[in-house]
Amino acid sequence: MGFSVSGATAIILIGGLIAFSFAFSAVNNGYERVSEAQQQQEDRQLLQTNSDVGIANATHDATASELTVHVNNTGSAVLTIEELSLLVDGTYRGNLTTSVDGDNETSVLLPGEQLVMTLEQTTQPDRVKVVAGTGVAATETEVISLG
Amino acid sequence: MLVAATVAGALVTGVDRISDSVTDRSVGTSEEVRTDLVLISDPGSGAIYNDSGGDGVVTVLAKNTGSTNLAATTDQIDVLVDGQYVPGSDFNVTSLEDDPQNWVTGTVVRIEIERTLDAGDHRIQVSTNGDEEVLRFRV
Repeated sequence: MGFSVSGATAIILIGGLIAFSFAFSAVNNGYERVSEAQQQQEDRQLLQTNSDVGIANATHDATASELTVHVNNTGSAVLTIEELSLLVDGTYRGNLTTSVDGDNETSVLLPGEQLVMTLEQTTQPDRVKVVAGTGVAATETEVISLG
Repeated sequence: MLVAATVAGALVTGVDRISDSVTDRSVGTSEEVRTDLVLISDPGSGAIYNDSGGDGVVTVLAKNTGSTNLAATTDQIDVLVDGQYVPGSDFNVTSLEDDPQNWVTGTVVRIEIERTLDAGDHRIQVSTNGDEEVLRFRV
């Protein structure tokens, strides 16, 4: 009798410990997972607040069928060039040639720098829009015609 | 002893199930927190709505500004036009990057919705993974 009571107590205690370890690891891992995601969200919001882009000018060369857009990083955050999107007359355009101070290889646009985006465009567009990876955007409604 | 073993077994099994649920929930919540999108269409350009022969198509461009990759499929994205739900058969989603099904961070997808709209103001709501964005434009 004495052994069975203490044995039963030990079994329930061991069961309780195992259950607690399951619950603790699940809650702890879950908390870490969510708090890490929240930390990343705060970092993204900070980056977004520090981001700003402006279109210095947009020129269309009808002879060369080429549109050139000069984009300034007017914020204090470093922007990723691959994440910059260009809309010409509301249509998304890929296959851009980009350069920063003559450097075609760089993938970052530092604060104060100007990015030159060049793409093939036969007709004279009315407006261009540039969107940074953080969602911050700039629109230019005056495209200078060179042709 | 037998009763105690049964109770302990039930306790461990029950707590294990709850732990699995907590893990699943935390994975879902962290994915929701990581998800962020922006509708980048230019409402002033007139490129959002195109009406050819009475069949209207609304084209919306959405950018993944979050920190997790999303699926560019109609079952992962919900669209409302002027508050009305658009079934997945009435719109299509195309990623404008190499893989048309994969909506990588920083990239753009094109959502084409088959809806004929009257002249006036309209609004499109796009939501995925708990994040929703609204675009207002005029036809």
